[in-house]
Amino acid sequence: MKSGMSASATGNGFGDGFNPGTVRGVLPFVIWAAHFFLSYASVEVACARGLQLYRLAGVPTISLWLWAITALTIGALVLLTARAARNVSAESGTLAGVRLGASLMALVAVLWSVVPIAFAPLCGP
Amino acid sequence: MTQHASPDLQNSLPSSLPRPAGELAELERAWKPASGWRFFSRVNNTQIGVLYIATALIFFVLAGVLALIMRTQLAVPDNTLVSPQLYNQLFTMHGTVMMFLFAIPVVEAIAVYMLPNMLGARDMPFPRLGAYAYWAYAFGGTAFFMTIFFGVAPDGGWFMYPPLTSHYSAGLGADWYLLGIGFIEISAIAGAIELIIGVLFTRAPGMALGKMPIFAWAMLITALMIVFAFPAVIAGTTLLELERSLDWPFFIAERGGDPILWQHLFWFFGHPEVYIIFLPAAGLVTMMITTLARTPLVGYRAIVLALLATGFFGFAVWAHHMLTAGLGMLEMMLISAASFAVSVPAAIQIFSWLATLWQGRLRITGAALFLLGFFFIFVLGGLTGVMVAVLPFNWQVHDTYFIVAHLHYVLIGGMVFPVFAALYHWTPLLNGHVLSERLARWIFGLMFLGFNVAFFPMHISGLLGMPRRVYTYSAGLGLDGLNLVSTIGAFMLAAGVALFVFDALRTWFRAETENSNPWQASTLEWAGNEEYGVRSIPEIDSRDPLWTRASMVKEIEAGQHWLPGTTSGRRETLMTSPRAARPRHLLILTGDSWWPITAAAGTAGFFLLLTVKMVLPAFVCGVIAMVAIVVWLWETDPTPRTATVNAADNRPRLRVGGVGVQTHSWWAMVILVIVDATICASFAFAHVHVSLMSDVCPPSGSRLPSLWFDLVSIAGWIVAALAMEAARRWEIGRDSTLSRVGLCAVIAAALLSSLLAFAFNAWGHLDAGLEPKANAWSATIMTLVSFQGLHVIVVALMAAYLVGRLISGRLRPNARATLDNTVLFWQYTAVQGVLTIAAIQMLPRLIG
Repeated sequence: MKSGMSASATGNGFGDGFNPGTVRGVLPFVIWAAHFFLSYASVEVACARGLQLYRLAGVPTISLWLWAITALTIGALVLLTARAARNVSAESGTLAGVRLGASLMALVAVLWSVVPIAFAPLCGP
Repeated sequence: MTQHASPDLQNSLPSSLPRPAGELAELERAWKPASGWRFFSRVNNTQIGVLYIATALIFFVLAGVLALIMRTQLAVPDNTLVSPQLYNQLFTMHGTVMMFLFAIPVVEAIAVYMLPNMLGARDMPFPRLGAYAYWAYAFGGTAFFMTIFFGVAPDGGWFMYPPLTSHYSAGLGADWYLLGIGFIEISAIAGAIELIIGVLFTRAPGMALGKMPIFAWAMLITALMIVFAFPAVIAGTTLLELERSLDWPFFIAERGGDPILWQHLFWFFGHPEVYIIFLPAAGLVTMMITTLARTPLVGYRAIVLALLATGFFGFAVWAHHMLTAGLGMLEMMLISAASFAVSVPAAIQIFSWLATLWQGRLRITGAALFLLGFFFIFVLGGLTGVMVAVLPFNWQVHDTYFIVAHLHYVLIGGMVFPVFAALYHWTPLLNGHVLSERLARWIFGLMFLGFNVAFFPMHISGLLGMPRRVYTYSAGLGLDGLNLVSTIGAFMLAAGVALFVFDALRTWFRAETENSNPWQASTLEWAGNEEYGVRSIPEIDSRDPLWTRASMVKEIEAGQHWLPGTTSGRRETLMTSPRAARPRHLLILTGDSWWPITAAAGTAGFFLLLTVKMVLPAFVCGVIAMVAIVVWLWETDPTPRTATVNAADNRPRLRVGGVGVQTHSWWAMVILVIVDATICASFAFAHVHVSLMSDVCPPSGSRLPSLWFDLVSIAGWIVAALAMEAARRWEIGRDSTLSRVGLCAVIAAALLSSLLAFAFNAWGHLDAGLEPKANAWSATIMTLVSFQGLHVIVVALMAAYLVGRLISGRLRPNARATLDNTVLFWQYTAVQGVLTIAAIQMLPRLIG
């Protein structure tokens, strides 16, 4: 083979690491989306079925649930950001930079979503 | 524009000189398009792309004419030029045609025409699917538009809110919308599948993801958004049509339905659609700015990141259109937060473009003028977008002309101006000629000024309280002058478009001349735009291959890269790996055929005749469409004549065709399954939504089926999935009758098991007295069960087709896509069956 361009007749569709690379690139946004839609759906269901009335230590359980999934999401994104930051110094590829940017952007977006969770009434009009 | 090619490429180009005599002639013969009346059988992307773009532009002009009639009506108060009924049809058709027949198709059309050349591919990976998608759109769109001439056009607004469009809307208008648009969505999804597979698997060797043109990134993300967004509106339109025709009360509050359900389903498509329209335009803008500023893009990674972020954030703002619909405060604030967040990636792109302009030196061409116009208008539209994300402001301006102004600033600024810039920029690819630069100044001036004169006053009309969609207004409300100015602006804008049409027709019908890359662009579409794209598929090592390697065009034209001829005498392209674009195998492409247009005509006939309740002719058309599709598919996945070929002299031989996950058709089936699953999820969402609306679940008078029926059904689906797994593992290479009979028996067992699974599930519901007209809860269950029934019919047809290929000897170890794809779809059907049953059984137990 004279060129660095390898031509494989046997490789499979993931032969060059497409799958893990792509997943790592979009994973932060997937996590952000999961948090967003889960928060929205939880509030929708809780308010439709009156679950906001159940309390634990005086706090509505649905609020505790929202804070729990938010903390979990932030933790996951902090980990992903740290990992992407380590990789970006080790790798020079475009995707490494995109991964770091995606982690940071998703983290900021989740923190931004905390504002309504912290200040808006749960089931108010 | 430095020149630095990789040492590998410098050492040895993929193919050597001189090329064999007759090689180019054979390549040209293989790609020669059908002529004369066989023109309609063409499937090549270059041919279909031009038709697609032209058709979309015709719809743009037609919808523009509707807008001019509306503006004439509104020019003065108390005008009686058009009746209120016709006005309702005009604004509905204007919005619907602009969104469904112009905006989405034109960006897909530009991609179909240009993307293969930009990626270094010879064609799209499914040329016949592309032709089918185009003809389906052309037939369906034309028929839909014609309804305005017969007074039966839809009149409920382009987002068709029930209850206005259900039991308060007699006649066929809403049905034309629901079935016609549903049909056009099929075309859009077919196009999206082609684009995803094309971008991921047919790039030039060396064009790793990080070296891909930004337009390809934009189209990849757009197509993925289509895959997730369109199913929601397909589900929504299906439910509304079922309510209208069968009285299943999904949106009727008195029977447990909820009109807000439609709004959720519609806007889960409708808002991402704004980005589905904008992202390709952003991709085009990026490509043009780089070329016109004559400098590499500043912030490639930032733009890729911004495109990705938009693709995700865009889905979270669906309820941004429902902020006056009575959502809870926390839900509204979450949506408001997401609406602010989505402006961040847009800003990243704007700053990246500005930095590129700053670094380079912009040539003021016709395209550049439209780009500058885009910047101005889109930024203003973005700013008013931030304003309407503020809840109290939104409540004030909702459904006023402020929103009309905002959406036109975003859509015309964000999409129409970039498309016009693109038409100026890439017209030389069509026949080598550029559009008139002198006329461009006039056209841009008329369009830019006309646009702002037309739409800027609408902000003020809206703030003064003028509601949208009113056919007239009274004098003395302070709206007279503003509306007159808006009308004058609309006609100025139209004059600009008319002048453009004149210049475009004059240029496009000139004799063909050589494409000389007049803007000195850096990407591969400028390296050759024959029917087969480039003479040889280049091996590249940079994002700007024509800038970094000055000899690239000569090498390509001399045939010194990959696949300088045709190895099989047929149309071919390279399949490369999705991340690094390493050559994987050679793909034999299908040639011109009458079947795609026949199938499209049949599909159009089915939907359109069904709309006017001509059931029997509709089913005849449906059968014609199915036969055409089966015949067209029958010719695909042929057994390769040779196992490997020499696609480049100085590179290893390539295998012909792939197997399993290597094949493009397997990935297309994966995407189709995602579409299917999203439609099912939308139906399931409808079920959950109406269940939550009910005081008790199941509602009084309804009950769940006995668990035993459903357990037997689940067992049936598991057996079917396992049987198909056995089929997948079957050694189909054994050429014995016994082996074939054995595989047929396994497939028959899977089919029998699926039929029994479905029968028990349906029996259980009938036994429980399911009555879909009684309440929305029952109607959503009947929908889910019917959807599963539809899948059973599809897998039965697939089984018959599979057995046909097996018996005819067309199923071979190296030509087994039919088997692999059938197994994938069947197993998905089984999973869907189990999950549907579980959801229906578990939900009442969870929420009581």
